[in-house]
Amino acid sequence: MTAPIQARRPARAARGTGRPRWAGLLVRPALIVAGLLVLWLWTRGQRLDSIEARNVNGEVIGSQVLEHVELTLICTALTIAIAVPLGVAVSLSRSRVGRVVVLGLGNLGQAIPSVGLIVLLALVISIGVGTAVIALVAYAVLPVLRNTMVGIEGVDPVLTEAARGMGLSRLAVLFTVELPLAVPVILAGVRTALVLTVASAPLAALIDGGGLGEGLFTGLSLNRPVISVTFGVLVAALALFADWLGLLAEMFLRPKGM
Amino acid sequence: MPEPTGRPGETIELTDVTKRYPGQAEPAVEAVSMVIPAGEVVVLVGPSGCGKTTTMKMINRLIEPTSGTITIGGTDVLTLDPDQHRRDIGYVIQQIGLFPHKRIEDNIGLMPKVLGWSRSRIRARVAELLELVGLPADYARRYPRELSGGQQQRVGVARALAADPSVMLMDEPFGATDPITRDHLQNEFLRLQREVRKTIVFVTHDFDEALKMGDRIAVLRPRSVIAQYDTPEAILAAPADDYVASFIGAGGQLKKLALLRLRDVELAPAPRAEGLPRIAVEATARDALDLMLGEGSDVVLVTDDFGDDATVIGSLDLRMVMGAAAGEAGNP
Ligand SMILES: Nc1ncnc2c1ncn2[C@@H]1O[C@H](COP(=O)(O)OP(=O)(O)OP(=O)(O)O)[C@@H](O)[C@H]1O
Ligand SMILES: [Mg+2]
Repeated sequence: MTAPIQARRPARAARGTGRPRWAGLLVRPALIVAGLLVLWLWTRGQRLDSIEARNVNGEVIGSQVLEHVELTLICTALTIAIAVPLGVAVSLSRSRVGRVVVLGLGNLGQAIPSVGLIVLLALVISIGVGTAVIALVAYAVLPVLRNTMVGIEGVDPVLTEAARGMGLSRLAVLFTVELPLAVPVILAGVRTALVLTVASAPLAALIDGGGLGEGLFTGLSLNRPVISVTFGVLVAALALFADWLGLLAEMFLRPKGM
Repeated sequence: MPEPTGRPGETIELTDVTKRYPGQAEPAVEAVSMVIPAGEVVVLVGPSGCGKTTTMKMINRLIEPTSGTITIGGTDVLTLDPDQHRRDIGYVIQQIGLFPHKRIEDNIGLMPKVLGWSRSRIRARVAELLELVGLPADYARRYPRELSGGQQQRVGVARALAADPSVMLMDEPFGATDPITRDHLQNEFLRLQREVRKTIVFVTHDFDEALKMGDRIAVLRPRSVIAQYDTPEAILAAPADDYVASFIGAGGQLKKLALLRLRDVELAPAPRAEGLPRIAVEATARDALDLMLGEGSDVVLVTDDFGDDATVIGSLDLRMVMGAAAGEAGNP
């Protein structure tokens, strides 16, 4: 199934000085805290058997959350490191072919169901964290790549011409004009990729890659809803939190004066 | 007015320059040849789409000519490194094009910074240029969107002047300003130009602006074909054809008078009579005529300066104005 992710529009939160915007920023953390609180109260009210108790406890949860976050950070960093330079290069080359090929590959990574991709790569390469990282990055590259290209191509040509006309080199124009102005759009892509990664990272557990997927799949395979619900809610909370961080980044890193 | 840092202009020469955009039947610029003498302001006027911007951009190589050569100071610009070449040319683009994410001071100071000027020197330069274009010093800290269109345009001019180029290309630089501000900017600009003597190519739609700003005017037809290339006085006195005449429009005689400063007119001795209207020697013959008509007097006194305590240095009567219009007091 091909479901290309639309170039996500940057958050507008920084524009205008409405207080409601700032208040809106607090809604998400409040929801997350409330959800986790409910989860905690609910599990406390359950009578846990030994298997459940072994999985739903602070130590296991803590280490899996840590693994999950680590995995996500590594994957997102790699995604940015690959997608941004690639997107810049393709935009600057103005090559139609390059554009089609790169976007096609990005679409492919996205279009293959992530479970399929991760299992396929495990078969081809091996199981383990490394393979999980490759699969997750392949899955998340597209939004950053696309937004980088859209962001750079969206810079008003009048501005690049003004910059060229003063005698800035091609590279200087990129770094002083094009990239700074594309930052909001690129960050919107990064935010999408970040959430995508957090939400798909549980699949890493299928091939021994660690993370919150371990608890989730344990609960599912042993038919222990308490375990799977707990870890499912944690993944959702983490994804919401990542999205919120992305929003903050968009607000604070957008160029001033815009 | 700040002290100009003077790099005088260089001669620009276009020889048979043609630009054909890909996929277009007609060239946008066809076989243009012209010499833009060092230190002069040459104004290109012509209808929209006639190729003024294209001609200008070929000089700084934002557009490469299809054929023909362009030299600056005798050097073929195609042999130069494009970036180095452009650094020596101030360019005020038609759409202003300030960088929205940079403060005014960083917009103006960008090229000096790239050229490695010290921070204090850049700051001084920015202050000097803001004063020159008539903007308050504290605008340096603003972002472009916090300025009006006309103010942004002035920053555009300041930015082009920042690295003290020897050649300026100005594409409708005062287009977005009201008549009063425009007049002020034109006067400031002319005053600066008298001191720095850069070579300036200036594009406008407004023939009156062309008359005022230009040492020479090139009236262009479509494809930048030159209809007439001469001094404002000569074009007014003898338009080459109906096309040029249509650009001059109505009131050609009055426009001629507007070009003539009283200090360039031979004045009659001042009569003893009291109560005659007075006019400063910096004014034009047209201003003098206007004053005569307004005051119902066929003689005015000419003073050495503005204001009531200025000294009378001579007088001017209606017949002398008519003589001036006929070209007798003509070009100094
Ligand atoms: N990049 C381009 N590609 C193709 N055609 C172009 C391009 N730029 C300009 N033209 C065409 O070349 C002609 C001259 O354009 P140019 O911008 O030089 O006109 P101009 O005299 O500056 O007009 P204006 O007064 O409206 O600014 C026009 O017919 C325009 O459509
Ligand atoms: Mg133009």
